[in-house]
Amino acid sequence: MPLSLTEVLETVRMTEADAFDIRTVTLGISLRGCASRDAESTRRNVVDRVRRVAEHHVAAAEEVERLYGVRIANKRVSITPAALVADGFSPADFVRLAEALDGAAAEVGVDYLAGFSALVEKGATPGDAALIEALPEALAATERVCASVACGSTAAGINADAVLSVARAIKGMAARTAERDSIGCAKFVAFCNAVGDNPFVAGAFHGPSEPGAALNVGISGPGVVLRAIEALGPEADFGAVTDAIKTMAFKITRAGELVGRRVAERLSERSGARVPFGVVDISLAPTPADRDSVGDVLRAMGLVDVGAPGTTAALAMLNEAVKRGGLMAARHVGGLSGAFMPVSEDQAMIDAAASGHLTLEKLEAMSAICSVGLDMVAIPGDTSAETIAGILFDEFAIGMINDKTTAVRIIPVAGKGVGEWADYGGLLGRAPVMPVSGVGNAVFARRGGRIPAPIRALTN
Amino acid sequence: MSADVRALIDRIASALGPEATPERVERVARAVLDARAPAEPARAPAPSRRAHADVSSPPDGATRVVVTAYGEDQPGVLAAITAELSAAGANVLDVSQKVLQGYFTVVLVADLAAGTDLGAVRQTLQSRGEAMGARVLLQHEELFQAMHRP
Repeated sequence: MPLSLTEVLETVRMTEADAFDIRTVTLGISLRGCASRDAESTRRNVVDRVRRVAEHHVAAAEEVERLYGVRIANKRVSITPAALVADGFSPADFVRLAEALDGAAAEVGVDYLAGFSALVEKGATPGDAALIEALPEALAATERVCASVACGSTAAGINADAVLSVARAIKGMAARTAERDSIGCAKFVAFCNAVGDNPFVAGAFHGPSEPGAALNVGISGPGVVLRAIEALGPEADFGAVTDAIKTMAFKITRAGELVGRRVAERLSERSGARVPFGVVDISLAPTPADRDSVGDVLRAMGLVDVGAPGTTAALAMLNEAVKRGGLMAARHVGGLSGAFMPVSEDQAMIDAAASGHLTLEKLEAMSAICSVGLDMVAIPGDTSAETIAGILFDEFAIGMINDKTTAVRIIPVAGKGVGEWADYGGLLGRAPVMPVSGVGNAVFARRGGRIPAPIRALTN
Repeated sequence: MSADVRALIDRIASALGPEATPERVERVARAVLDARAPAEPARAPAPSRRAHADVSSPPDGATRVVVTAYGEDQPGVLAAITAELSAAGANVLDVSQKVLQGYFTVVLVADLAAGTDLGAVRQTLQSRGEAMGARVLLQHEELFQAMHRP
């Protein structure tokens, strides 16, 4: 059947008026085999590998961008968690590795390189500990490098020692980048149930069970979903709303799959080594741009503002409908694949947080049914490491018990308090500093050891 | 005059609406018909021109593209686009134009011969469009097929 005018115009309107783009094409690169007898030669091997595999990534993505007229907002690289490759490094060695990776990322022209990471769900090696210790300096000294630490999982429980170390590292990152509203924290994610094929930063890394290289795609498209819901009017019931979201999610996922596959093909042609296409991450990633907002989608469902009673249910429904459409459209769905709700990167979320309609506690409830947890949340700079650890524990408990990914990207903005703003510009946007409960939890946060894996983990 | 040429002229005339002077219809039709001239002798025969784009694959090595233009209605946009496509050796398969409340949209489906520099054609179309207050897009047809013809 020939394409109809209506179909063509629908696609064109998505890219022209509804801010639809592909958020990222992320090239995962395995660094296995790069470890060497000393820090310097390991560093050299790692940089050479990134350069070689990613040399043509940006050019391939730009070629596909032009071919289909769909913008690819970011070109990114993810790597094998650095602590796996550089175990035995000192913290200073890790900082130098981060700087070298930053240089390689700039050289190949990607927006971000993620995977300066450690997986310590059950325990940390000396290398893991050194990487965590190096985080504040490494993130202050680099522009494009993103880091993450996996602190727990349904199978392993929660590594309480790691949670407190990470909370202290977050305080360190905030202090080391105090003059830029503690931007170091915006490049770091702490995880429960982390996944190895996530194309989104800051939490991307190339999992140990991934192939030598893989191309994963993250889509965006809240504006498209917003228009579909607005077109229904206030009388449509939830079934109709679900259908509208599902239909749109299907279409944008198809676009994501096509773009991802073509980038993988072009990259393979240009580099002479086959780079397989991996997954489409069907998360609806918002931006601070007008209409490109998950918060607006929730409001279009009939909430006066994000945070109103019903918000968690609305987000659950959105998440479920996106999954239904996306799963049908893509051969392999992976990564985080759920609604994102980054406070600073979504205008409606920013407004709701600034007006006090959206609180940290409501965000925590919302995180129980979406793919991330507390994302790009600014809190007062004088929040203690123990309070931050408590926030991490709560998020990770939600992830562990529900067998889902939860993540925390939280920014204790140095020198700022409630009512003030952290401003990063670009995709990171701006965030109002949100109030945090001051009720003490120091004894709990310092207990250490491991919170045991839940009964749910015993499935054999 | 063959039936398909007559149908083409009728389509152009109705697309141009009140702007359809004989000269303009002739200019657009000529541009479209010129586009049928094979770019090289070895090229596969062009599909027969019908009111709708043929959904079979484009001829060997050709790239099927969708050109969309929109903006405030003014004479000559469709003519400019088809003239540029003609100059690029494109084979136009389908044209739809609508004018609503002073705004027009044009959608064309065309095959660009193997070796055509898509970027250059896109650039030319965009500049011509901009000069006339229109936004012009050129996209590989595969995107639309993926989204609407799973």
